[in-house]
Amino acid sequence: MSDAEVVNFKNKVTTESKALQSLSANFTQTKHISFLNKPIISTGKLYLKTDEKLRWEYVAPTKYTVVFKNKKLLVNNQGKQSTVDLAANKQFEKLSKLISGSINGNLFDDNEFVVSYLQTNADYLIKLTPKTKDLAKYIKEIELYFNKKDQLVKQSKMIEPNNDYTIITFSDKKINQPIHDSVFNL
Amino acid sequence: MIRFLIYSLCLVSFFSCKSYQPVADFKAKRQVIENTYFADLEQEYIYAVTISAFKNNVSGLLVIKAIDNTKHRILLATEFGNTLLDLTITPNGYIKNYAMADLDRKIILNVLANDFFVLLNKKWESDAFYSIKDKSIYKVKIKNKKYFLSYSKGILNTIEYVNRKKKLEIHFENVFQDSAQQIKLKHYNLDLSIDLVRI
Repeated sequence: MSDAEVVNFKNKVTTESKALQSLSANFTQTKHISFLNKPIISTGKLYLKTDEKLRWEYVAPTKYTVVFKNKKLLVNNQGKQSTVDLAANKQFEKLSKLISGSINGNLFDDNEFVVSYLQTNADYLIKLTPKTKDLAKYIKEIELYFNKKDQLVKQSKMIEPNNDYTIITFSDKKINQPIHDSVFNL
Repeated sequence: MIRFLIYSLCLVSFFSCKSYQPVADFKAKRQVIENTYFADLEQEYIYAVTISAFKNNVSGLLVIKAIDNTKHRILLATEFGNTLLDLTITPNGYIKNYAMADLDRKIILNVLANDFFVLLNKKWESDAFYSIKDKSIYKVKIKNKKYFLSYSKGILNTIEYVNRKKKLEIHFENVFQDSAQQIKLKHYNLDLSIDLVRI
C-alpha cells in the first residue's frame, strides 16, 4: 500500500470500530505441523462486545471456552471451570489484543510489532513482525487479512519460529446484533 | 506456574502415597512383548491433553507420530495452536526440536521425555511373567528401572514403574481398533499427572 492508502485504511478501520458495538462470528482454526500429513482442525464461536467482553469458544473436536471480562480470565475446559488459567493467560491476552486491536486499530501502532501494509484484490493484508527477541521466541509473523468491504479481520495466520502455522478464518459475522450479557458467563 | 513446577520437581521427595504389593510366582522366561498403541507409522495420533502439576493445569493438544520402530515425535500445543513443546523421543533420550522458553528446562524435559518413552515404547524385553486366567503381567527392565506391564485378554491395560513402591502408572482405557481412547498417566512420588483423550 502507498502511504496515502495506509492512512486511508487506518481511517476506515478507526471509523468502523467506533461504530462497532458487538460482533459474533464462527471460526475455523487449522494448525499446520510440518511432520503431519493433515492439519488439525478446530471450530468454534466468537462473541465480542466493545465494553471489553470476549467469549472464545471451541465447539469441536473438544469443548474449551475462555471468557475475558472485567480484566479477568474465565476458562471452561470440558466442564472443568477455573477463573485464572496461567498457561492460557499469556496466549489469550495476545489473542484478545489481536482481535480487539485489529478491530479498533490499536494494533497498528503497537510497540511490539513492525507493521507492513499490503493488499490483494479483495483484502488488505497486514503483516506483523515482532520487534523484541522475547516475543520472537513465540511468533515469527502474524498475517491479518481484512475484508475491504467491512474492514473487519476475516483471517489470521500466525507463523511460529519453526514455520509451523495456524490459520483462523472467520465466517457468518454478525455486526451490532444484540448479544445478551449472559453469553459472557461460563 | 512453570517456575513453581521447576522448584517442585527439584524438591521431589522419596515418599510415596501408596504401597505396592508385587505379585508372587513370577516365572522366568525371556520374551519380547509389545505396546502397539502408537506403533502404526501411517497414523497420526491426536489427543486432547490435560497436564496437572502441583495444583495447576495446562491443557491443549498432544500430537504423536511414530517415526520408525523405536522413535516417536511428540508435539504439545495450546488450544489456540501455539506449540509449547516438540520432542523426538528415542531409546537414548530425546531430541529437542522446540521448547517454549518457559518450558525449556532440563529437569522438565527429562521427566516428560521419560514419561513419553514409557508410554510410547513399542518393544519391551521381559525376563519374567505371571499369568492367571486371561490376565498376564510381564516384568521388564528399562534403563535399570523395573516396570510391570499388565495385559487382560491380550490387551495392554497398565504400565507401572515400581521401585519398592509404585512410582508411575499409565492406565489405558476404552481400547478400540488397537488405539487407547483414554490414557491416564500418574506419578505417585510427585504431583504430576497427564490425562489424554483421543480426538
